[in-house]
Amino acid sequence: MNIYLYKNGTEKERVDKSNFLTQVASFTGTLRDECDILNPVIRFTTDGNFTFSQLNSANYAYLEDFGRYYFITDRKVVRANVHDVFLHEDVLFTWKSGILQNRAIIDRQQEMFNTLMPDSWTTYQKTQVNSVEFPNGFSGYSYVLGVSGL
Amino acid sequence: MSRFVYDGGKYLFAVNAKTTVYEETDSYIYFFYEAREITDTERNLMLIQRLILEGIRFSAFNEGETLIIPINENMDFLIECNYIIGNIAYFSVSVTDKTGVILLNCTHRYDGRESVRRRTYVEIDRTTNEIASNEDVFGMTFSLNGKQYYTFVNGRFGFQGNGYWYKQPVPIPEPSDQPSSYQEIYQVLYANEIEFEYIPLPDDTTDTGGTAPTEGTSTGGGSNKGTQYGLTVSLPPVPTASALTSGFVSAYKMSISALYDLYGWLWSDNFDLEQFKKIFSQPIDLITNLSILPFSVSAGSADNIYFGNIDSGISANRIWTQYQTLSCGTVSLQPFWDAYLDCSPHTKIELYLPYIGSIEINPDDILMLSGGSLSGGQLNVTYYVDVLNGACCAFVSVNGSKIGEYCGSCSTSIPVSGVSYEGVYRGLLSAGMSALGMVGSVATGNAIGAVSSGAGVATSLMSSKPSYLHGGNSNAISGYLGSQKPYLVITRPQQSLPVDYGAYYGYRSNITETLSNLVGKGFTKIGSIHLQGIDCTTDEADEIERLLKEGVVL
Repeated sequence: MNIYLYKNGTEKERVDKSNFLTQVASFTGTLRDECDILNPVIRFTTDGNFTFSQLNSANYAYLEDFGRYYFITDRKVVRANVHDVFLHEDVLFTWKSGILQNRAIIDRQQEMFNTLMPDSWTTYQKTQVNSVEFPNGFSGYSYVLGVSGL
Repeated sequence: MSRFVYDGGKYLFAVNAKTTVYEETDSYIYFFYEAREITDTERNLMLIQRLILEGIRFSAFNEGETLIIPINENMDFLIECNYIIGNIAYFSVSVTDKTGVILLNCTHRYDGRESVRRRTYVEIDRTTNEIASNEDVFGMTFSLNGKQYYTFVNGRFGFQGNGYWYKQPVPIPEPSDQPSSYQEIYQVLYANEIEFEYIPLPDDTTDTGGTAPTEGTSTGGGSNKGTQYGLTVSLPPVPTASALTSGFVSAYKMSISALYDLYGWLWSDNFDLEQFKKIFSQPIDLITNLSILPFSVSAGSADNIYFGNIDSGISANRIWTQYQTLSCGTVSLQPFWDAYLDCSPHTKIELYLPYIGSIEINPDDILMLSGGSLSGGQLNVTYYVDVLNGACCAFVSVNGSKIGEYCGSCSTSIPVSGVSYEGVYRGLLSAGMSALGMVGSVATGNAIGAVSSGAGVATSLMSSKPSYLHGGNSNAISGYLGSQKPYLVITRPQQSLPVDYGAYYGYRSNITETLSNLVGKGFTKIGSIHLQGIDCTTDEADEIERLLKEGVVL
């Protein structure tokens, strides 16, 4: 099984991380025990070729046999030079192509929005009060006398 | 008969000009123009506003930027860019003195387009004989007796569709085209009968309008099954049936000196008392009302006042038109945020109507939704006043279409003898309103309710003292002591908008879209999705859907 370790330089919410991954190291290993494909745990042994510093700098991984990308969620020192690395699948990047082919109802968007729709997330400050007078109105006065007769 | 012909293109920087019916008989109509010459400050403001429209482009401004243009040694012209949404900028435009005190102030919306195509709509209403235009400062020239004259309207707006519209692109003004004197114009207009030229509305399908704000392509759900009528209710015609033409009642516009003379005559014996007493004990009994109205009543020529068939020998201008109109002009209301914040219930608009009170106007009635963006409207207030008893009805219209009518009374009765006509009128009013079920509505300040329940009976409203409603409460404060011009109080919300808000939260979208089309468009939060075509496990699919609904960057 080929394992690639990366340093991920972007937010986890980004679907396409291909431009933000820097490879730290790659290995070939063997799957010995049962393994959760969504949350696998990989045991690494560090030596002169693969230092703890390298392992510590990686926060992202790709398991080629699984065909999936993973976030490194935790690391545990088992004993000297032996480390368990806990992974959680990055389903967004792994299934990016399929996701992008789907249609969806977009609730919120950064650029394609409609400002006329009420937004409950809006935060208000003090209201602004303006007044404007009409240009004309009642002006002057008249005495009016009404009498019976033509 | 001279013809009033628009020949376009000439500007006059003036305000508050309009035409109204001066006096009408079966054979002729006199018109007069009301106007005043603008101050230098107003003229400068208008001129520079025009320069902004035509000369300074949107791209020249950044949000929050302030531009100061000195006008003279006493004043500065200040343009402050308040806010930019998409390619639409909102400016505060003001003239200040050198100490920063604002002399004139207005807001202006500017659409960032490569070329600004402006259209002018001019209405010549054959019913009200008013000229209306959507231009803030619209001028025209006309020829009369071989001489060129100018006229103008300010801030008036109308909708096309009634067949009385003429469209004409407006060129850049030429300040040199100023007439030397308005008096000259008025004198000619008073002395001549003006016939407006009827110009039918041409087909116009080429107006591309402004740039729509960036928004989605949602087509929404369902279909329209009802009929959209739009705003189509025009002002009612002024009633023609008049008590003054019945032969039983006559009315006069009295000067102070005429009132003194009348008083003296009433208490003299300069008439045939015996003949008079066949019917009445005294001539004063024939006075149906004497009141003060808070405007200059239109009246005809001077005539002797008759009490029955007794000539008092006192002359006063005879009033022939019982129902007279009083236009308060138009206020232009434009979207401030160009967003839902401009609409109800976020923005509140209170309209104070003299002699009636304060009412709440729904901003949705004023702002129109067209092409995916809000457009402003022109709010107009016109009073119809019954000069015999002071009953007044204010018609509130938006872009020429009526949205409400509210009634009150604007006359102050003058007691003329021991007989209290105030009591008489109060009795009439009380009886009439009780019969119509209007008392409760007025007492609670529900002017709409009062009007709706009393529709068509405006003339039956008689009140001896002016009063107005304010804040929903009826009170005895005389409207004559209050503001004589309508005014608006607009309360707008102010959003606290952090920088990069859209990148973290996005804005309301509600569109249906293929997600690949949103790549590179920043933050996206999915409302609903049916994932398909992905060879993942259900656990993975559930997590994908959850993450998409929490918000991702595609």
